[in-house]
Amino acid sequence: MNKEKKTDTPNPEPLPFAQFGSIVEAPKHLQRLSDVLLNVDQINRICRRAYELGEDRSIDDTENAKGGTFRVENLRAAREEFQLEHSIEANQWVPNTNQIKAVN
Amino acid sequence: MALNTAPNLQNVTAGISAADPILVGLPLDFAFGNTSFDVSSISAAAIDQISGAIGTNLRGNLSPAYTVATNTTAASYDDTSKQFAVTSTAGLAAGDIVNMAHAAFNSGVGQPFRILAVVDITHFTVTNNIFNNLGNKTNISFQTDWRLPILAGAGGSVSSAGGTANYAKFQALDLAGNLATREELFYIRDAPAGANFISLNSLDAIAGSSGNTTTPTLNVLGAWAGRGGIITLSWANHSVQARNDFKWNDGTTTEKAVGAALGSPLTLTAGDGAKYGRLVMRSLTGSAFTVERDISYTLDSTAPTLAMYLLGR
Repeated sequence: MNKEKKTDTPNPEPLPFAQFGSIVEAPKHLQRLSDVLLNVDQINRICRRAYELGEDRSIDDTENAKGGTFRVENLRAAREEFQLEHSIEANQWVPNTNQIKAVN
Repeated sequence: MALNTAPNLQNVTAGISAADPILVGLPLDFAFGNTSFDVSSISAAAIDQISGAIGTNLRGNLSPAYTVATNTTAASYDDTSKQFAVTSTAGLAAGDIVNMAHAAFNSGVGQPFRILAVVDITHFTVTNNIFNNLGNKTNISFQTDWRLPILAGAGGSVSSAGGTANYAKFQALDLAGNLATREELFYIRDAPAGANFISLNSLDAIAGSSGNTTTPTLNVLGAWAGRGGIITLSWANHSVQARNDFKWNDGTTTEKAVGAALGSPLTLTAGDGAKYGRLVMRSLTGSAFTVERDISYTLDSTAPTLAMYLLGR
């Protein structure tokens, strides 16, 4: 009896923002906010929001370089948004209990 | 605050004082970077001779253009192709500086890399590839930096016989409009006169040295601790005589680190007479941008021929 051929599952498209498996996988500048360590979910959320809050720009060809579109991520806004929704308790970032959740 | 040190790139360490200045005419890249990975635009780049206020804004001379500010937390590296992948290489060119950070390197702190080649609209390679042979990597933080290419003493900078203090200034903003400023001091000085610049056997090699040794000693800016920022030396044909008679101690003429080049006497082509060559000085190994000087050395290694006669008196 011939077995049914499995359909290859195509590799998923890589995400346009980092998602880490642990804090130590993240570069130094992403690990802390106001000198307080973030957890990995918080790091990943900031990376995603930095991308979502960024903006696309374009540049024309120059003598030395090809033009095109590029994205400027907004890490500053992502951090500020996070700080509005969280506060520091016992040296860690925790959600504000009375905070109306931002739209994800 | 002192200049940052770029790991794995050739830093010019001269320039901290008039006694340890940068040689006029030396090609330099002033690299304006950021380790916060959130710069979105450049307000100003300048080199002035007075601390503080921006004089002439040179941001139009930056490479990449000051409007290019690509960043991402999701760059990647393919260890087979040795290429980095980013969302866009638009505006980037070979020689440009980018900042990258990954937990596996430099304790996760961002460091600058120099682009070797822009492969296509999303891929590039680097000259200082510390990722080489360490496997594929993902989630690399990436941010364009900017460089201001100048010849020391020009492009806003000034030189003088005694050394001129220059102030490099950089102002950049994030998308929230927060302005960051940085200023650093560096000295540029004219080439010293005579043998204090380039000497062979302690004599002025540009004016023409001489001696009876077939292995003369070369010295370059010996009184300047940082040798004016020169990193390498090599030989080329004299611009008028169209030949080179000088070799390093190992018999080669190719580019050598300045310490290795000056550590042993030179060798010459055979025979007495005028020896000609052109010393090529670089601030970056293999760079197309150089400072060069014709030099000469007259070799007379033959003892006089004596005669003796017995004559009547």
